[in-house]
Amino acid sequence: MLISNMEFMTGKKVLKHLGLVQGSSVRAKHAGKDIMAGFKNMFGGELKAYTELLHESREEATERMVQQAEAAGANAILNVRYSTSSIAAGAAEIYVYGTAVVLDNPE
Amino acid sequence: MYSNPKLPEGINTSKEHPLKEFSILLIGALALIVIVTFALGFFGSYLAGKIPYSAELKIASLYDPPDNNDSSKSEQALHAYLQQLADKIARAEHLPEAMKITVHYLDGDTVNAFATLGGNIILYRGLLEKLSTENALSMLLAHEIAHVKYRHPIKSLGRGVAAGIAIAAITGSTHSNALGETGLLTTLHYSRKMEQQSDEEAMRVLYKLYGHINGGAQLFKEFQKMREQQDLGESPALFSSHPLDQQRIDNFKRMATLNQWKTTGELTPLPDFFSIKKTEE
Amino acid sequence: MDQIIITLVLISLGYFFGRHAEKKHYRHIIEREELMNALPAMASRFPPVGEKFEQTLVSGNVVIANDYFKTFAAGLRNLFGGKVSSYETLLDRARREAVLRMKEEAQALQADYVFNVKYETTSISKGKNNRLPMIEVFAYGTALKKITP
Repeated sequence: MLISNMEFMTGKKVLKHLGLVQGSSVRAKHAGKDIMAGFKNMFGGELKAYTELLHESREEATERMVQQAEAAGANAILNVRYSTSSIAAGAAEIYVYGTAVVLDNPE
Repeated sequence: MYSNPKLPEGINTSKEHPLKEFSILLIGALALIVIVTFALGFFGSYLAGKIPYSAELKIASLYDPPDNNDSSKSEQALHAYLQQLADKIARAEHLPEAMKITVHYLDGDTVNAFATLGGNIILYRGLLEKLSTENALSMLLAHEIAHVKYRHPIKSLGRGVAAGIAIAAITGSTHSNALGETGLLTTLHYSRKMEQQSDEEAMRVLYKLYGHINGGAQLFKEFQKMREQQDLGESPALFSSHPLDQQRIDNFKRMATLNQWKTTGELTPLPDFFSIKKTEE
Repeated sequence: MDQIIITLVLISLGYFFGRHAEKKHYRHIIEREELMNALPAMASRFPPVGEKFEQTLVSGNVVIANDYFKTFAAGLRNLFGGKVSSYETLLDRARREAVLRMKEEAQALQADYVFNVKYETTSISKGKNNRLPMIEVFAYGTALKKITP
């Protein structure tokens, strides 16, 4: 599955546009890490626990979007966008969406 | 060239049944609360043990002593006798100078006696009536004084406060009173270990005062008898703070053999005004 | 004690009514999606080449709340961390509903496609204690209607 946030894949022709596909994932870090992050907030610096949380979450969301595209019969996803929103205190949602397309020669 | 095919369901949602996840989380959360409460309680009890006795006296002075104001002459005599006996036992237990034992006698049917903050010991008529010898009474007083000696009231208060704070923090309730309904008349909750420690100290003193420990076990037997009468049945050992009465009797015998204390000997009768009290009933 | 009972009642009411409402909503969404698939929505920015279109901005939004049971479960999940599955269906429903409403608007304009679809997600009640989370999903795009010469 080719994924790009551009309109087209250079040198490849889009045969079919299959519309929106999307993946989302909501995650929370456990209370202990929340507290540690609170301490870190006082001194600044990277919040490793949260970086990791959002990274895992983004991977899962992407995986889900790919599953949808596969089910639609696509071999590439173009114009992919990520959006992040915090749903409730301590829980963040990663949302990713794009256009599923069929390319002529995906290799 | 442009179309929207039908996408399958369930890609962006979890398939697990919500109730299953919920119950796992709930059990986990309850376990966490129990562990945190116990750990903080233990910590609180440890810290409270470090509070100087003078500070404990200040805490205790916040509450009014629960004395009968209109005590009759016979009651005054009884009170003086109890105080005198308590002082004797306190000396035998080598209580520090600052620790003053104050005995409060309450005219109530409750079969109970307990030690609280500031060296205050509360005795109910209901329990005293049941004791037939001075040996048993000494055992009771020595047990309660041992609680004071080992700082059990303040430790148990510290544990309660810390556990209360833990629960308030977890549940997020804002209107909880951390100190609770603590007063001098509230029975503090002592752990089984504390009770056993006090029992052993009491037996040591009993032997020291009388040269034998005969009559000391009457206290436990009375409790056992009372519980049988009330037909409450004994709660399972795990949940009961007082070691089960039978266990305390067994422990009594075990201690006696271990230390080779004489279990027979002359019993000292109680003074006359004790019997006066009983016939009044 | 009273508080525990009230909470338990709220949780079980939330569970039964929330689950019922969710199933109903999903049925409704799936039904309309099948009809609306005739009007394709794309995330692509460039319209089909070689044709002329009339362009109109279309949008759809929905504010949706979680039931008490799910909020409670999410609160517990917050203690241990991990995937918050109780919010997944909520967001899934909200997003599909928003797109459907956007497409319905486009359909009223007799459009052929919706291009450059974008989503915006906001938590309205975030951070306020004792309030059930409310989420708004806003979907917008450009409806394209072929101009027949």
